[in-house]
Amino acid sequence: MIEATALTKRYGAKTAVDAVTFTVQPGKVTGFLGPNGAGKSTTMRMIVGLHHPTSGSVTVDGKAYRDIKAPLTEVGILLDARAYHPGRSARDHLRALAATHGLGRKRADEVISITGLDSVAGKRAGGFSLGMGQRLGIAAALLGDPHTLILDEPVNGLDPEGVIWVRHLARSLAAEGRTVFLSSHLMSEMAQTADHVIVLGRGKVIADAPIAELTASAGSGAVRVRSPRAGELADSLRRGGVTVTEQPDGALLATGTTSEAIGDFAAQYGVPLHELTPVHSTLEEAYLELTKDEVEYHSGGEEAASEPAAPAAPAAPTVTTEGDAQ
Amino acid sequence: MTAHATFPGLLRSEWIKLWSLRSAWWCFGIAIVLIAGIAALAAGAIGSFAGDATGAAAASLAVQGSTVGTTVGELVFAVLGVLVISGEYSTGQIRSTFAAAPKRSGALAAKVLLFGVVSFIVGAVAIGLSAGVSLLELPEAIRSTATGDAGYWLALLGAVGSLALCGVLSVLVGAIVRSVPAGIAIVVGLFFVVPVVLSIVGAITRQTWPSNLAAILPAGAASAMSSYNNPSNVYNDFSGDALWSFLPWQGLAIFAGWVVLLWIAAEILTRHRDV
Repeated sequence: MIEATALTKRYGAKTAVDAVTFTVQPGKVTGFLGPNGAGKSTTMRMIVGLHHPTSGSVTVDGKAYRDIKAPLTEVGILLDARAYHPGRSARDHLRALAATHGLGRKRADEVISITGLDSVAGKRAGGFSLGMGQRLGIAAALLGDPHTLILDEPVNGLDPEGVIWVRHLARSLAAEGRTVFLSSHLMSEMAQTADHVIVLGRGKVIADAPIAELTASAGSGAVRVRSPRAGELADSLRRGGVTVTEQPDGALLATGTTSEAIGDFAAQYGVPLHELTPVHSTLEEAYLELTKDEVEYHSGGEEAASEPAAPAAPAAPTVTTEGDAQ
Repeated sequence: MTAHATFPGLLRSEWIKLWSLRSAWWCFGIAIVLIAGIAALAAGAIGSFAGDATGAAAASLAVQGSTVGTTVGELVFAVLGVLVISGEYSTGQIRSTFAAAPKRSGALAAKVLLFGVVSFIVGAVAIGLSAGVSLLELPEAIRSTATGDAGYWLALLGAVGSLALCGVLSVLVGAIVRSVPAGIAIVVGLFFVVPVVLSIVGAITRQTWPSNLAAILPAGAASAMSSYNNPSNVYNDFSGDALWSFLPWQGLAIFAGWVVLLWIAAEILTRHRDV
């Protein structure tokens, strides 16, 4: 379990991590999300003592990292930046790390096999592709068979097969009861891996919730309705206080209500329904919605960050129909 | 799993790290070849004018011949010493090193001690070869005088020690500056440029202080360590007008002082910096 309390890191006048408090529970995969520059890597480095907090504290299983007697056996970390010498072979790098904890060659060879590096283990790591480098970093993290794994952007540079491998690895490690904390700036990746998500924006925690809850809460639910008497139904619903917009294909999108309410309503008025579908926003949309004000580096002005969310987001259906109405 | 992070483990790790990079093989190889090679080149010249030197003069001559390559060797040891730690900072390896040893002092100490010991052993091989080729070229009389003189062997030991301490000092400089080019510039400056500049200043000003300052810098201390206790030198007169001369053990003490000073600085910086 990782516990951060009012963890803060300032670099001069810039606050990279601003009094974040969170808990990462064992037995599940916790995603650490946020745009680039949100402070994810800084937070992860503070957990393992590579960066010193300006104030606040963070512990792993109740202990500050620097007080852990055998850190590699309790916490494994993959950093976003390279953490090996390019002139050394993968095997020698892992053996040198293993030696610090008296782990020996056998364990180094084991993690080489686990991460699929057998064929390149004797080669100088400087020649590795980004994906191979990631595998070497993961091998180092697994070396001490740690109870807590902290992986910063683990799928970065991996091929599709590697991405699936990391996903399975993270899930199986969590299933064994370990604490798995992995960061990404891609929500879609988290949606398939994480049970719980902590979203960071400009150094602050802006969401900390199970993934299902996050999806449900962000972007109010909408219901898609098709009916041969759509116009009539829309008018009646609007009189009942429901926001209804016409979709280009003739269907209606009702927000601020539930499919049950609309079904009952239609039955009461004898309006036939051909489709009644609750529309959930995807996690990606929920994420963009959450972070749209927190993105530090906008691509082309203020609008760029929020715009991609708008066409698909049911939370703002009016944008779609206004354009279509003309 | 019954794994523990221990100091012997850190030493072992540093041992693996040192020898798994080509730079160590290259630098130590070059140092041995240079030290022994320079001695071989100088031996003929020394042998030719050694003539009928006897007693202290003979032993002093033998010391010069046997340790003539030490200064150049120190340069190579210094470069490797900087590389050993600055290379970790510049490549990111240091993050793995400190993640495994979060108190950091142990990792720094393991690196310094291991490099010092390995430098001492490699230095002993180099100086041994150097002395061997040098002695063979000297007249039999001088050779037997020198090898029968404890001062000769002490000077050789001093040369080996100065090589090891040069390596240690450079590791500490590398730990402080964290940059390979800056670290190499500093150690080369400290060992080769500053003494030359000071001797020029001394010649121009006709003062003793530039020479005395040079004597207490690491390079001066190193040369005192490997010097033969020459009775014609005046020792233990450290007044302002005197030209300071240090006995080998005094050179060692001065060099050790530098190491302690830099170690304290390196320790404080290493512990507090973000990596």
